[in-house]
Amino acid sequence: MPIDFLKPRLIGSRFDGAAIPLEVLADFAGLNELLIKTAKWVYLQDHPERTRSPRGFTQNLELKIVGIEDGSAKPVIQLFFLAVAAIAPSLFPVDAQAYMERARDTVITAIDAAATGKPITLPPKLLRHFERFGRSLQDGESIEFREAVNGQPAVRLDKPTRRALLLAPPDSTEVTDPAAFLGLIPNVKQTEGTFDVELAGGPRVTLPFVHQYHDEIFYAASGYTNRLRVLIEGVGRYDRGNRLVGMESIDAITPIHPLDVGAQLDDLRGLKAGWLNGDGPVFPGADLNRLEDLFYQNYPAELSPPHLYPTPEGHVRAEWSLTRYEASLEIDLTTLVGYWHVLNLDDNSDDAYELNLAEPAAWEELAEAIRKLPGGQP
Amino acid sequence: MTAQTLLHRQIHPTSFRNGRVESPAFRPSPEHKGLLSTEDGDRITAEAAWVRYTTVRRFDSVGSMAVTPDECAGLVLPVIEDGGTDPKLSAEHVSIDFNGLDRKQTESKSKKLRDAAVTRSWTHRP
Repeated sequence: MPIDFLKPRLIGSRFDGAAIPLEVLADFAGLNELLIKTAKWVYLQDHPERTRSPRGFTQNLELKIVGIEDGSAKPVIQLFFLAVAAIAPSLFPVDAQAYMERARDTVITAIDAAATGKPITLPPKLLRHFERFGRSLQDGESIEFREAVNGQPAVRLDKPTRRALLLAPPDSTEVTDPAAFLGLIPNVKQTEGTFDVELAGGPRVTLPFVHQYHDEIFYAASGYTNRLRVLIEGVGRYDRGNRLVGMESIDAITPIHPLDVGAQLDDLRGLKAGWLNGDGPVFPGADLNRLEDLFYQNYPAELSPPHLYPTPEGHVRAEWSLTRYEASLEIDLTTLVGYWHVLNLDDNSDDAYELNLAEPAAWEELAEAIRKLPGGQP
Repeated sequence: MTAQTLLHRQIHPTSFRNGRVESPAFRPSPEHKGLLSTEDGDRITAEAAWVRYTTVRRFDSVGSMAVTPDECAGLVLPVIEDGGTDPKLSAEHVSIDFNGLDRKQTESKSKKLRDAAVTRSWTHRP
């Protein structure tokens, strides 16, 4: 008979309606590995005279997700006992069950310790399993292992707690996390089997050459002076300062259209104070992220993309040259008020008005204005 | 200076992105009191103006473009030969006066100047 073992609660909008994205299942495979290794470690703590756990210690055990309850998603994990073989005659299933339960409690205690700044008792070789378990968690998401009860806070694994667990060993210097970033490729070092990537703001990171993306890497390198960017996705390695120092694996390298809004705004992210011959402010990253999101959500992809420029006032200016029309939208990043202006170069007729870009209706108005210009919708 | 004299204007790298020059490259920035800085092409070449701007003044420029007094007159933009009137200005300095214009007028006139300059193409591109 299987026994109820664990019912963690996945918190975050991705898990609404008792849904679990497939990529999160890889995390649970990591949890399975962590629990089995921890059970063996607990066994050896109990038996210091032994150097290894009994052969087949956990081979007759299996953790399975048997259902998902709402709230926002609660995978129901049960411990199953397989047909008992004479693999570990000295260890009855009930013993293994006890060690698995102690392993579960030990892991939860370690997560609690990491979240509350207490000493973590799990050894580094077990903590390394958090590389896999918890990796798919995004900002604001968490896995709750114990509800808040009787004044005791809940025990939750989130991104900061996972970082704390992975960086707990003094000799631990890096954490892996999913990574997706834009960069330029200034050079390819074929003899070393690497290529450099220049990130927004200028820092560079050296990555291993991936033959699968041979064409994309060389295409981007040849377009470096024209600022041809690539989107690099995979699992990144981050140092204690949360700076990208390399990639554990690269899943995709995709050339980005030069007028991609995110790529253009990336250039503005890299501007330092005084970029305009001593004048010109820094562009706050959060403001640029907000504008980028608004563009992606509201500006129809089939319309001509704008060229984006920084202004000395700290605004972002979008411009379109459409046949004999010159159109522009100068956006105040703080108020999200955009000043729209369009000029017919032939008859000098012009039009101008303000748009509140916090409102979707303003984006519809902008799209309509571009659409009706010749060349606005190629 | 004649009606056809080239008035050289330096283009900052942030004004030239993805192969396109923005129209604010042809309007005064806020601290220039409504005056757009150019240099008299009859007295200094586009290349010499660029070299002095980038190596002596150590400012950033990806090249020089130009408009003419005639084009400014067509937009009712006064052209002022103010070279040497201020220690900060070169002897060849010429200002294009945007004072008295509202935002819409400034936008339209800078777009017209940009169109004239882009149609003429770079007068110096290192």
